[in-house]
Amino acid sequence: MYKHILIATDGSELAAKAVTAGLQLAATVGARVTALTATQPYAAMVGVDGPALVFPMDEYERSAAAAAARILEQVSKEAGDLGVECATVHVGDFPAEAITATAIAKNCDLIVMASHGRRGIGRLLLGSQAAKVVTLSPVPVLIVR
Amino acid sequence: MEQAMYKRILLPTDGTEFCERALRHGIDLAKIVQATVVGVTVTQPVHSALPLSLVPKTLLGTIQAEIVKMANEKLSAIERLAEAAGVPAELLRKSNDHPWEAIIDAAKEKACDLIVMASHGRKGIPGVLLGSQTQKVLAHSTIPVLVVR
Repeated sequence: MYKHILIATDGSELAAKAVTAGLQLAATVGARVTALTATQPYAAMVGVDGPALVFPMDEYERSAAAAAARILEQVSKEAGDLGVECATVHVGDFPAEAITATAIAKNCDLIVMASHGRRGIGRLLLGSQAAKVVTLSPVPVLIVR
Repeated sequence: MEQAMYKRILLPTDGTEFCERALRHGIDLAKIVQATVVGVTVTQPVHSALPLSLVPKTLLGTIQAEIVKMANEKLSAIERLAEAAGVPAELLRKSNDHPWEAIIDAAKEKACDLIVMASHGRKGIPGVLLGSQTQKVLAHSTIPVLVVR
């Protein structure tokens, strides 16, 4: 069945549920896992005028990388506990695009992600990134609630 | 590794090719995680521009019998695929104008913990990136949904 599962997380509580579900599935079917977290590009976060002066790009990159490392470390640890082989990637791109592109580039045969991310359930019935991935992805997508 | 993995997987189908790929996918998954599959197909109630009381009963009966027959054929296709894979299957026919609603209901009724469905169904129009019923199931489901392309 699945040989290589891509698990996407933004470190939120709901994403943690997807991580657990994805890792358990990987353990059951004997797949390896790539865990991915994306941080938005500097330009999208900061803008080009005011804030950029007080929040320099290298500092943004550093803190984004540190946040990503924390999120991914948690996944690696959980994977280790379940005996699942797990690689991690941090991509500095918009999440849905990063998830889909990585799944294709790494030949993943399943994407696992939460229905909503850090912006929570709010008024959307399906989170924007999940909706985009389901639409863009050529590989099957498991949306966890 | 024994996990509290999926135990009852709902497989909605409208009998199209798209759905068949999703069915096979769902049955393969069920085999590995040792789950039961629940096949469901949704028929649409008969509507008529004439008041239904004016439609001859025999005609209505014939139409309804034909609808049921077609639905049963779709369900027995699931049964055959599941049987070939050695996966236990339950079957369910529902009638609803909105397939997504019946799919959500079926998942509850049959206590399913996963829905595996195709990204498109019978209205699979090229250029539409995600089928309308799949979108609605994704929006309204409280259990995980695996979308197969």
